[in-house]
Amino acid sequence: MKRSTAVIGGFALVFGVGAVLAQSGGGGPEDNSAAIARGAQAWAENCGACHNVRSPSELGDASWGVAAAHMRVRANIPGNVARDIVAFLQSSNDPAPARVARPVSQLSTAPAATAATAATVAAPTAVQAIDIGNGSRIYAQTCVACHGADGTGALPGTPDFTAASGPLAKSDEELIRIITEGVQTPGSPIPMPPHGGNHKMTDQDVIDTLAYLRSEFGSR
Amino acid sequence: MTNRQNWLIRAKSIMIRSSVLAGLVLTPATAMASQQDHASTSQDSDALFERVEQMEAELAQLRERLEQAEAQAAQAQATAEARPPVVAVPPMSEPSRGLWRPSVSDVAVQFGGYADVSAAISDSASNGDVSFSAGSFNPLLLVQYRDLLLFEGEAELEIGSDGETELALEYTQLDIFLHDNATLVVGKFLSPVGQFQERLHPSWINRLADAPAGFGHDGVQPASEVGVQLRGGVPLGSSRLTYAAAIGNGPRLNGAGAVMAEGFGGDDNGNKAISGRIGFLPTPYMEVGASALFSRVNGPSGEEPVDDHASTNARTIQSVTGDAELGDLSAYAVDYNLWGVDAAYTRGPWDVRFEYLRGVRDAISVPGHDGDDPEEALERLRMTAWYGQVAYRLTGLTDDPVLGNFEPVIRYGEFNVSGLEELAEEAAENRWDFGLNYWFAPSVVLHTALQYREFTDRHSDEVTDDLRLLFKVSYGF
Repeated sequence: MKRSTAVIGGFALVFGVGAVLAQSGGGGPEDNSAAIARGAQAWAENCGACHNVRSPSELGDASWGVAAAHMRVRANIPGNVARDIVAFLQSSNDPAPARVARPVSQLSTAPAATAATAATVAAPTAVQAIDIGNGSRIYAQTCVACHGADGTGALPGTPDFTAASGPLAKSDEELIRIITEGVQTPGSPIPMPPHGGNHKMTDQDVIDTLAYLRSEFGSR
Repeated sequence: MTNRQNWLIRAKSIMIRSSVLAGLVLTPATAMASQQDHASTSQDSDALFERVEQMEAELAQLRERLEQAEAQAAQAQATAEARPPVVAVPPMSEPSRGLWRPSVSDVAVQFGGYADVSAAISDSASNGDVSFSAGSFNPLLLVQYRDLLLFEGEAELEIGSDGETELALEYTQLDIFLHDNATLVVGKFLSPVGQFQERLHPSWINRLADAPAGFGHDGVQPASEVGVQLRGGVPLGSSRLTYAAAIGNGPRLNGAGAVMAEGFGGDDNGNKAISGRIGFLPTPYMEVGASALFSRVNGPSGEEPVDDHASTNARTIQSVTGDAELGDLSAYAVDYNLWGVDAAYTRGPWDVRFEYLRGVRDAISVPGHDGDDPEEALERLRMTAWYGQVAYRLTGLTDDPVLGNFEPVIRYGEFNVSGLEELAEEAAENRWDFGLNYWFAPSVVLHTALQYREFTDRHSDEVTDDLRLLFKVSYGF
């Protein structure tokens, strides 16, 4: 009985400390896009720790919620992290956002990483001057989960941006089409969703992100 | 911004204005009175006027700041009203603290699980026959009630070598989400000791066709427990600490004195077992952990144990039958303790794992006859199991869509037993696995493995080694 009492006391201690930690980290409602961005990163980091990551399109919204709760218990994932993962998966499993990207032909037909590109695309789409800093932020929020901070790919099968024959060997028009419409890379276990799963990504963000990719990984 | 906040800003503005104006009025009046009473000099008057001018300037600055603050508040309110509403995430919303009525959308159900079929060619089987197996089917039912409760139930159905269908309940548990960092689990749950049994044993997750020596059912690693468990993860900056602590009915001994930790539905001795694991993830792709189990077990009763878990493996710990000469030792309880460490690195195409477990059951002594010294009826039992495993997905080397689906894997493990000859003969082994996986999809895999087993404690007239070629197709859904 002493052993049982000690364990129950330990349970209470852990619960109490945890409750305090959880309360101290609490916050109010926030923009769902931030949760989606965090969820993309957490999805890659947590799910791949035991098994291959599964495509967001494998399950519907409700099923992902249940599956994430199951994995929250099994893998000791904090609840807020599990909710972020669900936000990402639910935003990525149905690539039919309210805001549909314009056809590629209306976006750009010229090199996106140059100042001339900004001028070219400015007229039809109101894209402003290229902001590589914005592209860097978009990459860190949306792309880094699969492509990795160094662009070589954080998940098995993710194409290597730094390879000479990698994705950056494609034309800007092709890359913009891939970013906006998504792609199933041969050898990759899951497809890349449109806009990397970030449906709030604007045309300006697409151009800026591509410019960042060219500047950061294209010259290696 | 709410009306209450607007009201507060306005009230604060009025209070500030009133205070400053009162100061302006009272200060000159006091100064004039002082001038009359004490006949101050013109120098004092100049100083007073300077002070008034200074206060007027400060008042102007305050008014300017106040107007700026009001303008900013109005702008923020307009921005907030213009922003489109944030779409809530339905099934994982924050738990409600108030009273509420359940509705259909509060409950979400998912069926999942995994299934596999396998075949083996063994040089120790009669004439090297190929043995097909229907494998196993593990249906999983998940029912979630908002962000408060989750029911998990998984069964295991197998077809035994005799053609009979065997059914076992892997786990059935209720998970109560206390808060983001703590979940209370009650029921029959997978043992939190170590990594393999709890997280890696499903055949579509396991990188090889079978469990490491000593880590499957009937190994030194406990399979499951019936009781209560508290578990969760706590972020530590960019790192994470995970914990699991359980109290349950604990293991039992079979007729020979071997330990069975299969989640018994009752406690035969009233001594609850305590088990758990602490894990630390310094980076998201690396984890180290330490586990322990503390329990007391009763000696064997001299009767044949009931096989509480279905298994097609003919050579298992539970198959080690009792020694009739032992007699009834159920009145003697001894400690069975276990500890272990594990580590994992799972970045990119790499999947590297290591796990070590050591369990010790104390000797059972009985009083000697006619006041003689106690006699040792059962020797102290020591069991050690460990393995190291490296898998590498070829996507790290090639972009070829076919080659990239291959994954070579190598594993070496040992299961050592001392103190129970029957068990050592049956289960002690060194095992090499050389595998090659082909992933048709993230959860569909063909395992192939060449397995060499060296049984380390068998007599020379028995089969002392075995070379097998294993095939298994697994599908997680």
